Amino acid sequence: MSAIALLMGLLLLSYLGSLIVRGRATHGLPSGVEYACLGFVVGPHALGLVDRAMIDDFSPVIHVALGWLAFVVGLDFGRVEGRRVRKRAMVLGIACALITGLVVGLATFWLLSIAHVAGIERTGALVLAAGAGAVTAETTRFAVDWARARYDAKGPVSALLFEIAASDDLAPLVVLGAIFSVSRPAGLSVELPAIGWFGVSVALGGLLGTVTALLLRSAEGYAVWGALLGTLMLGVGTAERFGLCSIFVTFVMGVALAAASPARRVLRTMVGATERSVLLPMLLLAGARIDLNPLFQSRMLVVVIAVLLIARVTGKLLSGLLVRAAAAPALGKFVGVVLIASGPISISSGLVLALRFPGPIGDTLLVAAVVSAILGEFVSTFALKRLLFRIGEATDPAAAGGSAS
Amino acid sequence: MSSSKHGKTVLGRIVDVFSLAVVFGIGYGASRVTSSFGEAAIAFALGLLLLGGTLMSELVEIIGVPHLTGYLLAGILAGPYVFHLIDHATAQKLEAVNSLAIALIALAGGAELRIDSLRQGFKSLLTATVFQTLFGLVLMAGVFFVARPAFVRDMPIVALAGVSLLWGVLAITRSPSATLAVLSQTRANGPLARFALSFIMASDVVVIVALAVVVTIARPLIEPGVALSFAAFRDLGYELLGSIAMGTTLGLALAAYLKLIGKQLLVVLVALGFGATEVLHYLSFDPLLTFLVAGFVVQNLSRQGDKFLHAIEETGGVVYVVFFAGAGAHLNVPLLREFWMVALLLTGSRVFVTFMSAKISSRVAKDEPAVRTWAWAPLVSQAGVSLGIAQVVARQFPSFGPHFRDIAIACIGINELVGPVLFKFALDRVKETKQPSPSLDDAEPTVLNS
Repeated sequence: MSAIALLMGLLLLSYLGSLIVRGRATHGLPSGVEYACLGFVVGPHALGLVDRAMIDDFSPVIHVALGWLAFVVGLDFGRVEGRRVRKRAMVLGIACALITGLVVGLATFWLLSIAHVAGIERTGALVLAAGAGAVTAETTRFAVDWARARYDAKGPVSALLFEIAASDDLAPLVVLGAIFSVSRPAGLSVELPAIGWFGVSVALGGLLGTVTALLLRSAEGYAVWGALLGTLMLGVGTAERFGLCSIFVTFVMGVALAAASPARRVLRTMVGATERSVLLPMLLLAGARIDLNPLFQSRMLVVVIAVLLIARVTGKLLSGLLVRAAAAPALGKFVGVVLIASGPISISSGLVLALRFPGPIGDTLLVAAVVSAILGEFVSTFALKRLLFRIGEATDPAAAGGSAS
Repeated sequence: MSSSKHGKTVLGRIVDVFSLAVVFGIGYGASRVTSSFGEAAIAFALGLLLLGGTLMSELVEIIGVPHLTGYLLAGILAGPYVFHLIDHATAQKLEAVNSLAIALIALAGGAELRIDSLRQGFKSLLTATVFQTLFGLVLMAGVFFVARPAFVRDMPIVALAGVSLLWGVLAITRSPSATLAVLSQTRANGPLARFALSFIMASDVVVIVALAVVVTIARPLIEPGVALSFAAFRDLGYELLGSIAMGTTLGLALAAYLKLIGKQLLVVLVALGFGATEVLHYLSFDPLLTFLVAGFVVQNLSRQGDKFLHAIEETGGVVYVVFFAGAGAHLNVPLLREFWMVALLLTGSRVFVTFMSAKISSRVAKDEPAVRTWAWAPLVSQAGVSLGIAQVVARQFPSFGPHFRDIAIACIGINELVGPVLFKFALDRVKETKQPSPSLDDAEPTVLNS
């Protein structure tokens, strides 16, 4: 397959993604993991229609797409459906992500400290453990949104879950920012402590977000897109040159823009509409980037992924108990199962880590992200559907029956 | 390619200067921290050029200079010859954007051409084409022959005549992209804008034919052992007819899509810009002509013209900034410094010849006053087509072609900077430019109230 053919394929996916927005995102799987699977199938390790060199050629596109998605999340952070997330829901969301990330991180590090994996030394083990925590921390808002739209669900529990899922992206992105600040690339002429690089990430995102807000004061029509794309690409490019986490920088940029721009509502509407158009091609490229070779070479990495998934389920069950205790006592003990759904943020985090740490660490984390999303599809989506019907928030059996068929 | 209402206040200008300083400051800081441009170098360059170009265009607007010049300046400053915020390799990679930009420029150019106005201005267009082409080619060949730059000094007279003819063809090339960029920024409408658009779009076809004719004639003059061959005309016929046929088909398909679906035009245009261009290259058709015809068909054989133009403007606005700023980054400043004297002589002569040809043809065609006075102004700009011809000469005549190309690049650089300024000045003088449209802040109350 030529690069142009791949580009056309990505544009086709982008086109389909834009149609899904219009259809209220109820088509396909909530996490969009099927596109990652498609990418894997056409990628170098299955059918080989897209080779590794070509994927590497597309890496600037991947970086920009990842940055854009994080920027969209940042721009809309702390808001759902045009209103602010309640404080309690936000705290719960962040706490759930932290609990899960911590459980996964500790479990992974414990395993790596008792079992040696070739090519992963102590620093690598720390990066892998922290990365695993970041990759598995989220509950995707797409799953809750998908279930609410598909089964016409309305009520306090679905609203709470949606708010939690919309708030928990902060923790993994901050952890990614921290990982990149600690693990520095060679060849930089400036040396700073990790906290300094983390500060640079925040300052860069904040500065670019503010500049974007200033530019948008006088922008019109396509100049708005020019300012948005320009600052985003500059942010992504600068972050990559400094060895910083580009998706953390653009996330901060989105938050800063939302805070500084009086046109934030128009921007959210404009930018939000592009999310699926960017997401589907990104997922395809993420799937094509999956490399199973390190797992074949070191079976211990398969065990790492298994432990990581078990820890994730445990972390989410604990998170569920917290949610139950803090906000919804009427829910069952296993409400955490509905929080297992993961998706774009997980896969984006996995892909960013795979690009930054090529080899066993990055590849393991990307595989873990995709497997986690698949697990979420099998477990969480059905659990969520059952929960919503059980508590009477999904009240449209015709829609449910129609969709089930 | 934005224009602004708020940006014209003092505060707005200060904000622009601050933002530009931040953008270049980040670029400068990045270049000091690491010499490696890395994996995302292209994203960095695109962001820098897009923002730098947009901001610079807002600043140069103060002195009445078109945005296009601001984009070029930003590219020159950021490029490998001045601040080196973008390296050579990345500047080369930016050329990938060119195929999309050229497709959009040609589609917009075709869609701007309306049969009615072409019919009205047909006499003027035909006269100007004949005079500008014949006078321009012959007189500029003469100037080159007399100027006799260093690399042709030892050539026999006959060979020099052949090279001079090639220079003549180069001199009659115009810049559709610069013309459309200035028209897009100023939203100009009137006799001069219509004349400029139709003439320059038509001149693209004329130049393709002229190049084939001149190469056929010049080759035996330059290379004595080579016989006159008309094989080039067979290829030319294939290219022209094929491009027109393909453009018509594409135009009809686009019109059908716009009527039946009409959504996601951005994705469709990007797919056309990259995918269709690749197919056209494979088929040896001319993308510029094909897209020009496609745009013309959409405008004149369907009712989708305005919708189509709006979509192109939305997409093209961003692409043009990168296209021109990228061209600026490519501008070989050391070469310009080396050849500035001969380049100045050749460009000055070209402007004079264009001016005189325009005066004579306008008198013959009895043009309207605006065209009679300023018809020459839009014809000064040169850019991509001219560079393409310089590359063709360099490739087909390796003995002197690279030197020819170097001087051509120096001349094109001058014309690229001066031409758009002259064109905008002319449009301002004949009062064909319009006010900018509302900004994002104006949209906010509407959304809030809805």
